[in-house]
Amino acid sequence: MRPLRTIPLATCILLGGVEAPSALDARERVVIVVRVGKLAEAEVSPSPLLKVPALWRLALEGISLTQLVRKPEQGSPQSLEELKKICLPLEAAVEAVDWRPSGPTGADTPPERKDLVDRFGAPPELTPDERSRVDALRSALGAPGLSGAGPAPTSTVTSEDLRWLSRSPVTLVRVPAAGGDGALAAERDELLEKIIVAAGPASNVIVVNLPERGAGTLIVRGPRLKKARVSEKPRTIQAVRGLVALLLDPTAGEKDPTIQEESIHELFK
Amino acid sequence: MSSSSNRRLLPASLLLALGLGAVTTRLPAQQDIEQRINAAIHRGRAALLPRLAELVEMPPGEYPMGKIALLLAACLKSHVPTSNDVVRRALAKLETIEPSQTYSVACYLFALDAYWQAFYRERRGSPAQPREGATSVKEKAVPRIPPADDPIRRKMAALVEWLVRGQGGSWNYTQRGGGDLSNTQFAVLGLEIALQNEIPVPSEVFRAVADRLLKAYSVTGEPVILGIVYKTPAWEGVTTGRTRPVQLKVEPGGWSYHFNPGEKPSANMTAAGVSSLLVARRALLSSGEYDAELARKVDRQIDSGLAWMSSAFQQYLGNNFYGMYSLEKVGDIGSIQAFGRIDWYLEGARHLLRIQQKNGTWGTEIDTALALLFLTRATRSHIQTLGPPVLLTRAGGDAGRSDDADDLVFVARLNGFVSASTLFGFLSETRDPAILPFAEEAEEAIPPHRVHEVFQHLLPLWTGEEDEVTKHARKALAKLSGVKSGDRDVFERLGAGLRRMRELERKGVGSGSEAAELLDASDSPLLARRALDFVDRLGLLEAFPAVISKLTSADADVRRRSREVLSRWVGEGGPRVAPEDPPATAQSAWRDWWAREGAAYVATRRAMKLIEEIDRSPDAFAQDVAAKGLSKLGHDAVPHILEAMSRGEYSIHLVRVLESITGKAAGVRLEDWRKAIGSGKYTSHAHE
Repeated sequence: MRPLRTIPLATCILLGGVEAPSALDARERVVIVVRVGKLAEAEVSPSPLLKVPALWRLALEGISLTQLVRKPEQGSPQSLEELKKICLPLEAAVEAVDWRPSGPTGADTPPERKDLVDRFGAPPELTPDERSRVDALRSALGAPGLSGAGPAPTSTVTSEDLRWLSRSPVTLVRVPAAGGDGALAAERDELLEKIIVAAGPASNVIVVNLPERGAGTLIVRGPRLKKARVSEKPRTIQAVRGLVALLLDPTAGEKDPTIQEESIHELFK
Repeated sequence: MSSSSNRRLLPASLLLALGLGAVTTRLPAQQDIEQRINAAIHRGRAALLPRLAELVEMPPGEYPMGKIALLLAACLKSHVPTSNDVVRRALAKLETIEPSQTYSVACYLFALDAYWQAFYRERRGSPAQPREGATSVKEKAVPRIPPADDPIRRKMAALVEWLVRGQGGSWNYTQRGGGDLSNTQFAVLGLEIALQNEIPVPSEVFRAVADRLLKAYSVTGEPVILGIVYKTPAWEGVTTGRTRPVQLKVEPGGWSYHFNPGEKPSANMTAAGVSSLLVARRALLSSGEYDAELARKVDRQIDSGLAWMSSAFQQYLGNNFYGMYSLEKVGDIGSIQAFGRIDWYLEGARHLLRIQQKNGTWGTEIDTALALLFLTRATRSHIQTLGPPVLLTRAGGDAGRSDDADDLVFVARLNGFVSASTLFGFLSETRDPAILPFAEEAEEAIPPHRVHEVFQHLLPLWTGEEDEVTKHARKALAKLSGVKSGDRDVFERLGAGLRRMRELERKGVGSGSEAAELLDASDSPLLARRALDFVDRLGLLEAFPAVISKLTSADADVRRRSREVLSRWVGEGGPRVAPEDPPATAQSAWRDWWAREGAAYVATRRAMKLIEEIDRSPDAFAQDVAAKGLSKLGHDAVPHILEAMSRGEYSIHLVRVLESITGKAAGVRLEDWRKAIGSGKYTSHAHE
């Protein structure tokens, strides 16, 4: 088992997952989007009348856990290391990356290609075409507007670019939120839309919303999961890890009793 | 030919014509004439078949379609197998000839009908000699008439269409309108084939035929006593049919070739007129257009014509093969066994036996064909000569695979399945009490959910004729429905109600108002129970008042069920009614409750039903429809939606409905919705 790929975006951190034997269909990948920080209310609890259409559609197609609670001392996990521990069941499989904070917002910045190859065993050097796509994507997503400061993005990327970026069986994306006003929420929702499209309809998309205060939410869509449901049952944030584990291996609950405790099975059809 | 094969050739009707019972009771002299007739038919067909082959090979210049078709019909009626090469070639040849002459088109219809009847006869088993373990509905499932998509039927329909094209109640050589009674006779006999095969014919055609004949009739003498013995069809092993002698005083009269009342009637044309009126009468009766005034005139002229034929019977014999052919039509369409003391078939058959030539023919191929059509009693359908078929099945057999399997009922007395509609149709036609025990079994064999079919079968048996069959129908309907009434209309309405009930049950969805109407309109416990079960199962609240009305039903079971339905619907929230309370007290309590609480209760039930549908249905479209329905209920539905959400897990569509009703946006959390609705924290969409 080896880490595959870590591709960071300017304001989202995309961590490589694991290449491991799993129950996943060849096309059925897991994409985890963790949004932390100053989130708008609608980003935590969506509505068709509010301007988060991507999240609402995801909620319509999947199941929403509305009471993702954490202990006061847990706060909001900010680092990738924390998120990996929370979200990924195989901690040893992903190596932590100490990103150098830089830029006006202090968001993580893209690593050099060499780092990816060296530290995560990323695929061979990109072709010129691939390189140009990644550059375009970085250019677009790296615009300061997404981080809550500066002008809006000046260019766009196609879903094809994201598709190229999401070849790993498990992908973790961290989206720090620097503000909850409507425009910023809309931009984050637009990013979410791109990720969902890139992941494809057969993928499991897990969106974890961790606001600064109050209970978070988990909105998940997948071919084996219930549709158009809402669950008010309180769950801890560790539910994310249990869910990912069960998506990777339906028998994971037998090996890890905490998964059963989190009642993750109730999310499945 | 062996004796057994001879016997198979004999038309069963012959036995009946002879007034005999079962085969086992035949006397030597009667067996002798049977054998002689069979031998004559056999020799005749043996002579005719090669001639048919020649005509197919080299069609005649005159009436090619008519001559081939007439010979083909005679051969098939004489039991030449449908698989015979000449038969097949003749059918193929007929297909290539354009219809252009009335005689020919009618003969083509005779041939097609004869072909299907032969096919049906060949494929149906013999009730008297079932093949052990080998018979099944599947292999016997040739319908009595050709199905709609069969080429035979399509061709028949096209020929019938050709015949009815034009105007008036008579035909000439090439079309409808004007012409003579001979062409008209053939055309009307062609339309009789259409009726037998359930091919639609406009009733005005028959009305025009009747009018034309009524005007052309002429009286020939003073009133005479007419003696006619009518005979209903037999059903081998079940009934030998019934004879009904009738004596009437009528003026003899008849028709001439040119429809001229001033001309002296002729034997052939009088037979043609009577047979045409018999066909028109049957058609108009079945279409409900045989009014009393018309019936009086037509019936009188038929009787007059029969009186004329009776007095001139000898004119039908001699070498008048067309006359004998026409006589057979009158005898068999009219279900007549004898004119006075003259058994027309026996006399005619004896005459034909006497004059059959050594080569098996009766002269020309047309005369031979006409003679065979007389001897074989070609006009009688197999249903008339053999009765409804009995389809034997092995246990767990193939009945379910038959196209008309739904119509099949098991009758233990016959040790097999019969088509219920055919059985009751036969009973309706013959009104023979001997069939009633079989009908009773069939009535009981039809499952309760299809009881409306029993009504459909029994109602036509209840006629103005106060005979055993009418009595049986009346008694059976009263027993089935629990209604004691001598009014046929009551049962007619009940039958329609049961049929509608069944349609609603099959659809599985229902209009409460319609179910309420059925409940209200029914005095029958049978329909009331069905309607109660239906409204209960589907929760059709519009029927609530109708259910209350049934609390005082005369039937204890209906009263009990009504109470159960109301209690189940309302639960603890209903009025306090003790089981021992009188029906009127219970009804009054429920009516008061309904007036007070009904509207709120209905809104609550509707909301709960829609919420359940949204929550449980796996179908996204159904969820959407239910969500729209729930939105329409407005603010009354909000508490029920919040209640459903408080269960901990719910459909996200409930959130959509809340937003639609309140205009607010509060996300997917129940707590937020409670705050939004209670405090106005969330504003409407317009403010976002």
